[in-house]
Amino acid sequence: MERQIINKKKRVFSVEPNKSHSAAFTRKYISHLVPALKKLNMNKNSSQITQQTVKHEVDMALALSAQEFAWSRFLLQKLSSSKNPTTTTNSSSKGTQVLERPDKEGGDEEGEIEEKLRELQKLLPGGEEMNVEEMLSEIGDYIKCLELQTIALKSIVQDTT
Amino acid sequence: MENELFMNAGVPHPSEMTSLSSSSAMLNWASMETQPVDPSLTRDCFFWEKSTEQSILDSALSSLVSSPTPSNSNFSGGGGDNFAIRELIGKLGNIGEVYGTPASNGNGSGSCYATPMSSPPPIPMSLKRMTTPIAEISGDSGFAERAARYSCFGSRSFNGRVNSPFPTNKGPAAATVGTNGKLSRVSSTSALKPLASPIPAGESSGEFSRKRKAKSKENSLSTASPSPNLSKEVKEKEDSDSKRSRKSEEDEEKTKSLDPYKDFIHVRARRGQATDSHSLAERVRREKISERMKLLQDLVPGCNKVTGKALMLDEIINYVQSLQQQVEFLSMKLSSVNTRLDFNMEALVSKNYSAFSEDDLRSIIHMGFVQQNQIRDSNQVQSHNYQGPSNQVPSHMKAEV
Repeated sequence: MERQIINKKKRVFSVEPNKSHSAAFTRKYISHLVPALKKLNMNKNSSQITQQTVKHEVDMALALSAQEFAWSRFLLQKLSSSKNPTTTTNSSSKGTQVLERPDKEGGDEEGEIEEKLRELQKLLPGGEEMNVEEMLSEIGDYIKCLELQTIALKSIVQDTT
Repeated sequence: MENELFMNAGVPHPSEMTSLSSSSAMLNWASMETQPVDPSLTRDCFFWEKSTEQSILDSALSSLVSSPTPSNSNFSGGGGDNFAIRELIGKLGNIGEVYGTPASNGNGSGSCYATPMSSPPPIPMSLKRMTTPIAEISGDSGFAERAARYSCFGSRSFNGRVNSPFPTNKGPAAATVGTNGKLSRVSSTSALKPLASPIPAGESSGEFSRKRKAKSKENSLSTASPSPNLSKEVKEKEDSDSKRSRKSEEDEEKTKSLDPYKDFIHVRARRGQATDSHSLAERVRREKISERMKLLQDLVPGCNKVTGKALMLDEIINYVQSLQQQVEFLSMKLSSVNTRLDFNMEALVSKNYSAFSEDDLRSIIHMGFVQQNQIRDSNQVQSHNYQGPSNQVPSHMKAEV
């Protein structure tokens, strides 16, 4: 069994680069988040464990697992500077904003596109400090990491329920 | 065509005919005039006009202009005028003799040069008599106008080529061949520019140097005088040459339908834009952005069906927002079940720390995908289906879970 596990471990560095990359990220993420949550659980009573702190840990784990990206640095800065994590609670309002956009008459298409790019920049942590090209490439990685994060969280939630 | 070339030269800037423009205009006519006579002189004239100091030119021609008989004798009024021009050009071709020429040309040249300044319209009529090279040039001017609609022509590109050597070519005709790329096309328009408006010396010299680079393809266009043929050729060559051929085609189609006069004026405006280094950089930037957007298209599910930057950006924004909302939701859920973390975390942690093989990870991911689809439905955020990998969970993982 040990040998099998070791052999399986070797397979992590497989020919598929995407898989191994996402595997590395997920592994890191889980390894960051789970102990953090455990610590939270141990240190505080259940009543004190608010959603905010959990969110904070979640974001922290995300930032720590994706150190190679620029947005993770920004996210870390944000998290470390503010005690209350900057959540994406305003995303719902942004959702409605985006829905309204098609109603507007696009007089200047270029302007519209620029507006949307700016909005995208707001979504990405630290996106406003980057220029547009950089932001677009970072967004791709951010999306990937978010997807992996949701998967990991789901698996954790499923395990605990 | 010839009319268009020279009418445009005269019409836009009759008032702006500074000494430079007039002198350059004169030089152009002179060079075209003398082309059948001596191409080398023509080339030299162009080259000389652009690369040598304008002061020499100005002094020479101003002295010519100031010479007697400020009569408004029609340019068409005399072959003698043309002859005088040829003479002048022949002499101007030798730089050293510039200062000596004014006196010798006398009335004829004086009148010749007085004429353009006073009455631009007569010029094209006289030049109608010119031979094929002129037609070629004028035809090419139409070509050049269309070609110059490329916004990618930047002043940078103009100036960067100031010092390139002047290859032996047919002068303006070479420029119009233009299919060497955007730059050569612009250079052909630049041939018109000296006639029309004063331009910075550096820029114009750069344009002419680009003409030289276009020499390789001049032969293909040497016989095409009518503009439609040229435009067709231009279109074909643009397709083959530049990666921005699509844009050029659009421009081509636009210009084809327009009146030649309007073409030229429109082209000039565009050139004003094109020569701006900012627009060039902006174009490069925009290309980079669209490149990245294509990558994003592959990443975001459901983006393949959407075309257009704006809609795609909408999709991407929606997707990122939905992902963030999911994370929020999951973390809320996590906090609610946190009380039971101790109990279950051990299993998860042990699973992670001990043997985190790819198989385990894959199973986790697969499980996550299954759940993801479920949760997506529950959230009712996603309208599209998320195509994940197969939902098969290895049996051994199931047992562990």
